Amino acid sequence: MENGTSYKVRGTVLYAFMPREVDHHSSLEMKDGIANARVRCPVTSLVFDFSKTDFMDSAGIGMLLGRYKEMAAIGGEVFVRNPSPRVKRILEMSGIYRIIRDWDKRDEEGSR
Amino acid sequence: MGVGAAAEGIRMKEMETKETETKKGIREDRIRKMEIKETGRKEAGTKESGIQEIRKKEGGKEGKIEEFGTKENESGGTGTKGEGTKGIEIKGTGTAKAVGKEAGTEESVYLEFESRSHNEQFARVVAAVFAARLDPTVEEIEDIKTAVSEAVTNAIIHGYEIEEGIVHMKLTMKGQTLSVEVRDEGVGIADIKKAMEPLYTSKPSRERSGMGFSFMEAFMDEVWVDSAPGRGTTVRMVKKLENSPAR
Repeated sequence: MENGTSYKVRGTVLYAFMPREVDHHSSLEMKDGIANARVRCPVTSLVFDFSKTDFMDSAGIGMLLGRYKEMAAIGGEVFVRNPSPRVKRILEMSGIYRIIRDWDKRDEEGSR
Repeated sequence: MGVGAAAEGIRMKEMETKETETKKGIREDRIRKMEIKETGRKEAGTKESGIQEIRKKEGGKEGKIEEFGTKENESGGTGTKGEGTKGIEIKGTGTAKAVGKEAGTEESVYLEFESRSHNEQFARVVAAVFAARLDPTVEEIEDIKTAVSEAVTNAIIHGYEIEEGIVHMKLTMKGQTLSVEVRDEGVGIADIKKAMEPLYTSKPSRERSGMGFSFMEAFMDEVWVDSAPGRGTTVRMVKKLENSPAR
């Protein structure tokens, strides 16, 4: 869809493949992209895949928090996937792992 | 043939032309013009600025610096590059000026750009390239980029909100210490202490995490904020880069 982010829906899960740099600028585009995707395909899980991402700042955290609130309002959930060590460090520093989990470890206890 | 000799030669030719009377006026003119051009070049020779151009590639990839050398006495001076003051034009959605201070231990680069969100990346790239001269680790570069991104984003979102303004960034290196100053002439901060509290944000509706200052403080050694309502905001951050002999 828009620059850098692509989406895939499988069942009730929306996968958002994050761009190389997640900052305030790209977060603005992503917010709209996800809103559009959700209008077309009602989903209950959002998975943010960071495979391509090598930069993220606190704007990315803000964007994740915003999506978490939206999903929580409908009883849905937000996950992250494949963060690089750097991105994982940012996620950990923000404390966001208290409310979102790692997709690939979602069946584990206390997954991060 | 050196410029001096060429100029001399041309001047002599002109004298000859006058003596032989009215040669074609055209030829006289041409010679006169040549003389002026040669002299002009010689004068401009000695300490002309080096020109650097920073280009941002399409698709937001890393910027690239090209250095176009110093023009010193084109005709034969060997001259050293980088003497004196350098002027830099940066093309983008704003303009930038860089001033290099000669031979001292301190050097600064100034960048000014419009408060548009796509310039956040631009500012990060410029800071990273500037910091690269200090031979940082990958992690140090990432830390600097993140801190710059936070400060610049704050200037755009909070300093100027929905208005347009100019964000000023000054990068300075002194020894192994990098300092970054991000300044806006926007609304200013009423309560700086509160603003710097972790998780505090004045704009929860805009999906701000309230972690900008926390990240700046985590990734840089020191952070100072100078601001007052209606007087804009200056954020200054300093980071000493460890010089590892192994690199």
